[in-house]
Amino acid sequence: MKILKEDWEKDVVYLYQFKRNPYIPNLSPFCMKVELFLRANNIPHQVIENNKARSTKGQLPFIELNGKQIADSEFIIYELSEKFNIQNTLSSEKSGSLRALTRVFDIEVSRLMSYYKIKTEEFPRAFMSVTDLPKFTYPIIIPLVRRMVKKSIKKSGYNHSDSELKEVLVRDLKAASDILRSNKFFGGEKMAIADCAVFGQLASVYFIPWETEAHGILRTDFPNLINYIENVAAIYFSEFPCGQNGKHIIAQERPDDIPNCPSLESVEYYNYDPDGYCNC
Amino acid sequence: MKILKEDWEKDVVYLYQFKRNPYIPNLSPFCMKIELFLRANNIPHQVIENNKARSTKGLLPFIELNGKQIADSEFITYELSQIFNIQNNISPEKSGSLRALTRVFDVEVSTLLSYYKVKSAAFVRGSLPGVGIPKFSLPITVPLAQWFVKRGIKKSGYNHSDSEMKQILVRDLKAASDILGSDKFFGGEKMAVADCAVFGQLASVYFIPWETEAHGILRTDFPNLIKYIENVAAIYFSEFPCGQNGKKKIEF
Repeated sequence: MKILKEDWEKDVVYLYQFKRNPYIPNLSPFCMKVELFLRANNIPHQVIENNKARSTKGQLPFIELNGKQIADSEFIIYELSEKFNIQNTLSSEKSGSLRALTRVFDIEVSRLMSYYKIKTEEFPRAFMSVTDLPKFTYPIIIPLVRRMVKKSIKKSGYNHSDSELKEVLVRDLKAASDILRSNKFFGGEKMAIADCAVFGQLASVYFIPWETEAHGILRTDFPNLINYIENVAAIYFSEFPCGQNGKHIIAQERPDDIPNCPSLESVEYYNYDPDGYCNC
Repeated sequence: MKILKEDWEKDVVYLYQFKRNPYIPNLSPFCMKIELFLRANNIPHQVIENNKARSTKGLLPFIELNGKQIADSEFITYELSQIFNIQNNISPEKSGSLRALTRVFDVEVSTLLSYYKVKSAAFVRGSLPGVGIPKFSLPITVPLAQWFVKRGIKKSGYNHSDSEMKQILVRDLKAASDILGSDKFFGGEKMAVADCAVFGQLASVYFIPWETEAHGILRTDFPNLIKYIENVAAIYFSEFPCGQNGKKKIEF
C-alpha cells in the first residue's frame, strides 16, 4: 500500500477527501464525519483534497498516520480514539445507544439519504463534478448513474415503495431525535462519534440548496435535528456557509482557479455550476 | 398479490416461514423475530411452514392478515403494533435506543452473522436442507452457497478482513449488552421489538450445534447475552430444545 504523503509529520493525521464545494465541508457524509471527529477532538490534522485518490478499500475518506493508511470511517475513528486516547465518560447504556445510532446512520440512513439525493437533478450533477468526465456526457451518464444507484439500493435489501422508505427513515430520525432530547450533543457536553455520524448524514442533505424529499421530512418532523446540525456547524465549521446560518457563501481561499465572489443572493445558489463555484 | 390462505379468520395472523428444524423455532432470524413478536404480544396467529412461498418482496417471513399480505419484518412489526394497539411504557430516550439497536441487528449484525455462518461448511451443510435444498446436491450447493453469500457480503459494503469484521460485530454486541444492562428484557419488564430482533439474530447462531466463530465471541465476551437468549427461549419457546437449556433434543 503506497503512502501518498511521503514527507509526513509524526502524529499528524492526513485526511484525504473530495474537494471542497461552496456549501458544506464535504459532499460526502463520511468525509464530514471524519473531519468533524478530528476537529471536535483537537487532533492535529491536514486535509488533502483529492478527487481521484482511493483507499485500499476503494473509497474516500481515508487517512494516513505515521506512514500507515487507515480506511473506512468506522476503523479510522476507532483507531484514532485509541491512538489519541480519547476518553468516553458516558454511562454504558448511553454508550450502547450511541454506538447503535452511529451504525444506523452509517449504514441505513446513509442509503436512504442517497436514495433521496439521487432522485434530484442537481445532486448527481454535483457528484459528477468530482470525476473528470466532460459536461457534455452528463445527460447520458447521469440517468445511468441514477438507475445504477437506485438498483443497488433496492438490491441491498431496500426493495420498498417510496412510502415504505420514508417510514423507515422517519423512524430512524425519530430514534436520533429521541436520544438527543434537549442535550447539546449526543455525547452530552462533549461530541461523541455519534455526533459526527449524525451530523455527516444530515448536513450532507440539509445544507445543500437543491431540495430533496429529505429536506421536507426534516423541516416538518425534526426541527430539533435541524437546530442541532446548525449548532454543530456553527461551532466546528464556522468558516463554511453552513456554519453561518445560511447568511452568505464565502469564497474559500483557493490557490488558483476559483475567483473570489461577493456574497451570493439565494437565487444564485441555483445557478450552481459544477465547473466553478459561482457564475460571477 | 395472491393470498395463500383463502379461508382466513378475521384478526388472525398467518405467519409464513421456513419449515421447522430440530434445534430452534426457525433457521431464519427474521422468522424467529416475527414469531417471537406474535408470542410475546399474545397476537392470535397460525404458523404456516412453507419453504417455497415468498412475499411480494421475494422473502420469508411474511404474514397474511384479514386477506392482506404484509412483507418484511420491519413493516410487519410496525403494522401489527398499530393494528393490535401494542403499547410500550418506555421513555422516548430508551425508545430511541431500542429502535437504533433493532436496526443494527436487522441490517448489520444479520450480515456479520451470515458471514460467520457461511464460513462454516458444517453450518451451511446443516442449514440448506432446512430451507428445502435436497441432500444429494450438497457437495455442489454448499460451496456455491458459500461463495455466493460471501460475495454478496463484500459487495454490500463489508469489504473487510476477518479481524475487522470481528471488531464491528464485537462493538455492536457490546452496544446490545450495554443497553440491556441487568434488565430482564430490552423493553424492561415487557418484550419490545428490539428483544425480538436481538433474539432472532443471536438464537439463529448460538443454539445451533454447528460451531462458528460467532459462538466463540458470544461465549468469551458476552455471556450475559447468552443468558438473555436462554431466558427468552425458556419463556417463549419452551417447547423447543433451545428453550429447555439444552437438556434434550426433540426430533421433529
